[in-house]
Amino acid sequence: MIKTERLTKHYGTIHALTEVDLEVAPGEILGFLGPNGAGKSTTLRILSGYLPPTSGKASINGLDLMNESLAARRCTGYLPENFVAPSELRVSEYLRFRASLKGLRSKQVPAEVQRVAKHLGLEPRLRQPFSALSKGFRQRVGLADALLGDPPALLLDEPFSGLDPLQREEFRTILKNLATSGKAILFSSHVLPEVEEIAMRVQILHHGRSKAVGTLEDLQSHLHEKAKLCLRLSESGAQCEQVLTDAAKELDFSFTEQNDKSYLIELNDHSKRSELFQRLAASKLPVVEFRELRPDLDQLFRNLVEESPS
Amino acid sequence: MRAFVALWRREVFSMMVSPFAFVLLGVWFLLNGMLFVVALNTQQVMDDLRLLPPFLFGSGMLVWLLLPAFPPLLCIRLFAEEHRVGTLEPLLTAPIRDFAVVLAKYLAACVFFLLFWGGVLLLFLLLHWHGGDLDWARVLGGMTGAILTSFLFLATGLWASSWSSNLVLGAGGGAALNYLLLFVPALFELNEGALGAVARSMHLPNFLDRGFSAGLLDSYALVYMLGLSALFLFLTWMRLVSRRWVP
Amino acid sequence: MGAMSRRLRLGLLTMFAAACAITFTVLLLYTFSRPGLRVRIDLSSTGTAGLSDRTVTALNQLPEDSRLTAFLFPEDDSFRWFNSNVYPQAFDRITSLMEDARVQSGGKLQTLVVDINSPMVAREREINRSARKPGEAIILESGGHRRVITFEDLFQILRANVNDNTPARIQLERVDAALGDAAVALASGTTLKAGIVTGYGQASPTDPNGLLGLSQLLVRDNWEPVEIEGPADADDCDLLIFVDQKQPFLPSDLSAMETWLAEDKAVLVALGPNASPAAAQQWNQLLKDRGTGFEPGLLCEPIRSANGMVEGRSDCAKLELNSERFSGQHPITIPLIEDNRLLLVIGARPVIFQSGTNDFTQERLLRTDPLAWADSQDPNGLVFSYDKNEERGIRSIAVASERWAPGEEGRMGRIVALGSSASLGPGLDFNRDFITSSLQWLGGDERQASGLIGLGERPFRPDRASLARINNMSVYGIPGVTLLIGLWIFWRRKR
Repeated sequence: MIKTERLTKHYGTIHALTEVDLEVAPGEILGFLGPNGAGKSTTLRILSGYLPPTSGKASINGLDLMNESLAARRCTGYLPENFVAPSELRVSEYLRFRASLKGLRSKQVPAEVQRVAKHLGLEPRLRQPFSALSKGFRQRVGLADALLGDPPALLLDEPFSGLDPLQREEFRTILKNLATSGKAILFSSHVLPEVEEIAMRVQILHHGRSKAVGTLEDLQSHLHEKAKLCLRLSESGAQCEQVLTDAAKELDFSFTEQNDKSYLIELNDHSKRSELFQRLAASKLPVVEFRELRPDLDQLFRNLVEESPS
Repeated sequence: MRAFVALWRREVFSMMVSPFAFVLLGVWFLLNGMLFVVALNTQQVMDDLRLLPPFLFGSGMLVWLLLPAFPPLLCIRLFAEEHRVGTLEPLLTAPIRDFAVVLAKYLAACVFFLLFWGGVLLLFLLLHWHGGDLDWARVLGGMTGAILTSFLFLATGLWASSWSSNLVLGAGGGAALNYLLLFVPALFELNEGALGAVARSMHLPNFLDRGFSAGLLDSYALVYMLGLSALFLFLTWMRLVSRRWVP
Repeated sequence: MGAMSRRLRLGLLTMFAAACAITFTVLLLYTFSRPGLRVRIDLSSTGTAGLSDRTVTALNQLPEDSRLTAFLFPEDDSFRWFNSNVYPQAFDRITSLMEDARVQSGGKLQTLVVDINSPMVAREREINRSARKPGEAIILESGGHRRVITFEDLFQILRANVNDNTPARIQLERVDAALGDAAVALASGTTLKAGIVTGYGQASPTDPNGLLGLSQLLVRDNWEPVEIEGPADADDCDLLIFVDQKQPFLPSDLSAMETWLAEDKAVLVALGPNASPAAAQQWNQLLKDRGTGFEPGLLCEPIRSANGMVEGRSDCAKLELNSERFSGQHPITIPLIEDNRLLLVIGARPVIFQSGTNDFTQERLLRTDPLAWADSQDPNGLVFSYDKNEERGIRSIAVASERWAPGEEGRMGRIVALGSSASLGPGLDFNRDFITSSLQWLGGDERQASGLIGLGERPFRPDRASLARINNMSVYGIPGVTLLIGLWIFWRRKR
């Protein structure tokens, strides 16, 4: 649905994007992560048709952004970073204008505006001028604008910026619902927990290059992250430490005692998780809990950024 | 087409509810009213009202000073202001052709600028209602020329507006371009040879003073004004489309 | 495709498209400035905002290098006294017709308007190049020849009256006609020679108080004036002009004159009341076959005033002729009627019809009022009043005669007999169009139309209250209401 191939964008000598590939399928939410200046907004602007790429391809719904820009834009709902609407217009006027701009017939426009306004809880604000809205509602107007005409692909640039926790929660729900309805959603964000919360896949961008893409687990594996396991026993004892010390030599892991009954095990080789479990079972230790800890996106992100040469 | 009409309507509407546009309109009416009164109260015009249209629409103050400045002021909101505020990005990512954007904005500005001339026409009607025996061929001819000139200046203003998000640069650039269009041919009009001939064929106040305001419609003057307007619209479009074309 | 090549290609494409558009616009303008594609529409109800067909045709016959320059300098201070609008109106008319001339000539004619706002260097250059003298308003140059049109040629002006502070006013104008005449003259490429006879006590064509005005008018109308002693010297002339005559012809000149007339050559003879009776008698003999001649006396008319008809004043000899007094049948006077021309003939003797041969036609060009009489000299001099020895009735002031059918080599035998010599001398300004028209007819060129036309002034004389209302509405009313509407909309939208 949303696809780029070797997407490259240079501003003079500055390489904003270098050969970025990405793909978002219908019903999927792809979180676009990266520090400031990583090239997230540039990618979204290229995909929205606002900027041309220096090289590479970008397409929406199979329509090439360079050659079939107008048709591709018809399939796209785009929420730019720091969305602003003309201050002299009321919310309803702006949405009506945008609906008409997207080619909706004049008879369809009121119903469509009503639909998105209801969907995003904007109904009470329809008669207010845009300039009188709070940041959260402005973002909703922007999202409503993106949703007008029911486009199959959504490009959202920092949709959570400036929202309070309650609004974020609402936004997350809205995005999840949209993905459920089959839309391909590509959104960029700085807020890692938000991405962790709703993105089905994550793509990490740094210095204009794609550093990693996949589910969080895939990323962890891909980046040779140690598997972190939590082992909790009903009682502590020297026998336990002995078992772990013996196994550590063979299975190549390290462990630290968190308290007298639990240990944090960092396994270098993910595939030896089951073998470790069998060892522990065979040693008849009083295991209460043996679980893998979820990978930490924040840590992953930091690792990636720190790994990359500046 | 729907997108074009939608944008045109929105632009006209935005101007109609914009305090800035009304201030501009008010100042325009005030300055024109003052010029009108000054002209009307001269003995020459009192003795022959046929001299009034050339005074206002010919080579008078209106054409030399006011007309080049006002259209660019109106145009800054069309691109420069949108660019500065950030509303241009949603517009240009909407499914509408770049040329439709340019044309819709231009035509909206033209329609709004007709209000400017409507007020001036009101001055002549006022005179007519008070018994002034006007030569309507001259009044309407002069006004047609002035309207076409303002449409040309709107096109140059639009082009200047598309180059910068700085409002002063946008308006100043457009006005400077318009003054150049007026003054450069005037400077070289008396030159010998090709330079003089080209200057004379581009001398806007001549078209207004000796053509339209005298009740004569000249096909060349029409083609000059419309052709140059079309050229600047094309250059504005090129400015927009090159953003998509040229990486 | 590499990034650089793509960028270069698209950048070049953009610049190329812009260059194409500019080139296309230039070509479009060039194409539409060509004669065949250029159209001018005259919106005025009278159709006089532009040039007449005659002038346009004449301008189009000029060669490529022709040049029309207008010098719009307000040189006569009296035309500016008391806020006169002579110059604004005149310059407005000239500039609009100059532009029309440029357009209608299809670009063949290079037109230039030089005025007080023109850059000084360019202004001086044009003045020097065209050898322009004060008072000259339009100069038409073509193929090494030039025609000069003075401001007085273009406009008939009623001068300012310092007694009652009345500003000067343009009564009539003939910019279109003058341009047409100049173009016709230059397009014809030939210059006719007019011999001004001065050997019999006539005024000199170089004397500002004499016939200098006539001489200049002849030059402007494509004649080459030459001063000759008598008809015997008029070998290569096309026209002989006699303005008064204080002595009868010597036998040699009389014989030459008879030959001249027998050859059907053109003559303009103007004998005023002060001409020698013997000379008048001689002319009557010469013109007998043509069916015209002169009578003694001074034509007078009663003056119409608020107290009725007044006689006995010298003003009775100033004959104001409106278009009703012109012949509606003759090419000389038809344009004057069409233009609603007014003539002022000061001091005229009657011109009479004689029983001529049937070979010539006669037409009374100008006539008096039915109450006119020819004041005869009595022992006390002229009394300017009718007495019983005189006879009231319509008298001719000018008669034209020509052959019924042109003779061999197209000889037309055209003569104009005018009973006033002042009309070609000091009174030329009041009769300029009649004389111009006569000269053109004598030269074989019938003017179809044009001449003087009214400017159609539209004065505005509002009462004080109306003017105040207009002023207030213009400066405060309309802008104020606009700002209020703006405020109201702003307030409504804010709610």
